[in-house]
Amino acid sequence: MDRIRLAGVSKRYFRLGGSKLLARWLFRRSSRGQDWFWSLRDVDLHIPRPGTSLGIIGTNGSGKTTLLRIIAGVTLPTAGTVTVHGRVVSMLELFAGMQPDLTGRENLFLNGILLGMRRREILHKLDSIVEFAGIGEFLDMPFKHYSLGMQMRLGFGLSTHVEASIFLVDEAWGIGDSDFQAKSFRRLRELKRQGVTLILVSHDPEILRQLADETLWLHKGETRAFGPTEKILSSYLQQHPGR
Amino acid sequence: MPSSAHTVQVIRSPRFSYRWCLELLWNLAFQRVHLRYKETFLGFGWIFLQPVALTIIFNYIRRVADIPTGKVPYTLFVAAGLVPWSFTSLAISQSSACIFGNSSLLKRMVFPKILLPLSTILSTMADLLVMAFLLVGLFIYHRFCPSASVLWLPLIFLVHLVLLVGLACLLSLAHVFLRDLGYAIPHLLWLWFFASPVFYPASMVPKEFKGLAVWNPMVGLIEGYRNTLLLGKPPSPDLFLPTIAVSVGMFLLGLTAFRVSEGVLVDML
Repeated sequence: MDRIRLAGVSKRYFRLGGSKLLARWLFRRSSRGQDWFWSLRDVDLHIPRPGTSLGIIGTNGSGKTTLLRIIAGVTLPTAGTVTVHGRVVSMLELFAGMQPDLTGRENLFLNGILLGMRRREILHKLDSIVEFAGIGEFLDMPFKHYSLGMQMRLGFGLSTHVEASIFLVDEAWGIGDSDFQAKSFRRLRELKRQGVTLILVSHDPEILRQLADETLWLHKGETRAFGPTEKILSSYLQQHPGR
Repeated sequence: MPSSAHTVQVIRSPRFSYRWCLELLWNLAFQRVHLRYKETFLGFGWIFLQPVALTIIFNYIRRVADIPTGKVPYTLFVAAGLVPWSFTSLAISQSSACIFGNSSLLKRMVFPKILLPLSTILSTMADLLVMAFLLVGLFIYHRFCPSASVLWLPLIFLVHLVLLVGLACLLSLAHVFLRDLGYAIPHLLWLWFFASPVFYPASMVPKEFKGLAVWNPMVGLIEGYRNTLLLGKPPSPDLFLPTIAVSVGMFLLGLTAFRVSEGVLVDML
């Protein structure tokens, strides 16, 4: 059975929000082309086997996050077919769901359930999560007093303890120190070995080289290239040499 | 790609399990209650404050304007109207922003979105519980013993709940498209308060407004609560049947609106 299959997936966003959109709809003004923009156009993607990892590369605004959101099921495509078999954990904006006034522990439970875990499961894994995040004595402190690094470690630790078959990772380790980067990298590799499908968005060629079997290069919402990571990376780096 | 006639097909497995949804609902509601009173000094005391203050105010108003309540003590009469009204008012004011206020959650997590309004209603039931204890205390103080007609209470409460769930769904959705609602709702609630027989009996509604008042579900509900709790009568059908109709109508409308807009909701935030 296919893990993930996208066929001709496009996503359109409106430039207008809320009341203006409502007014336009009510008064049946024909919406002109400039009212919306295409964040994603006609993207195909196929991940057949467990344990295959996909890297996504592209400049800012190329539709990487939109693609992850569609796979996660947060938003629906405007056109196309999406098939996803297996539980998805999205590690986009790792701590966006955390409540600043709740303690770390309370946040672990609320967010763990939101990520699809059961309360008993979280209780069972609590020690392991806390140890991974390395926040020990701060567990019962309000989340808002955590440093950015601690917030991220807690979010990362929690997400990677969910029993899911697809993980969407969006530059998750951007803020962490090198110790934590190495630790989270090992954790992702371990998940991959267990047969988890990783989908990684990263600007770091080294990470993609080591974790992604295939890479999708998005450019302005369209597929520029799709294939083995090494091949895609070399042509990407040719066009975007960076520093 | 042509900009019209898009075909969208989404196939996903596994789906949410019901037990997980219930656990999430319970946890969302619990955290709401927890958060609301965590960092305030008075904590749950705030729940008492408004109904107690209003009861005192209305006792004063009664001295000014003559409000006949029969042999029922006026304090009890007002309290029996204020508790259901406070439930409505709290539920509406809390739930109207529940989608907009949780936009960061909705943009990141995948869960049945209807759990948000449902959990706010559930969390205001904690406040209702506290106020119900207050009411029981008043009953004991006035040595007032309700009759067997209280058996109607579960039915009235069910209709009340159905109405609130419907309204919470509709308003929280509307709030996403129309931010103005955030400013309008407190004022609309005050209008609704005076249009509902909280501090006066439903029989005092002026004749020319009677036809209109029948369709205000709070008239039927408050009158129903009072009849069963204080007067030992079942709710009067000519007020209660339209209330059931309005409540069920709101409920169905709210659920339909959620079903229709669930897919595009996140893109509007």
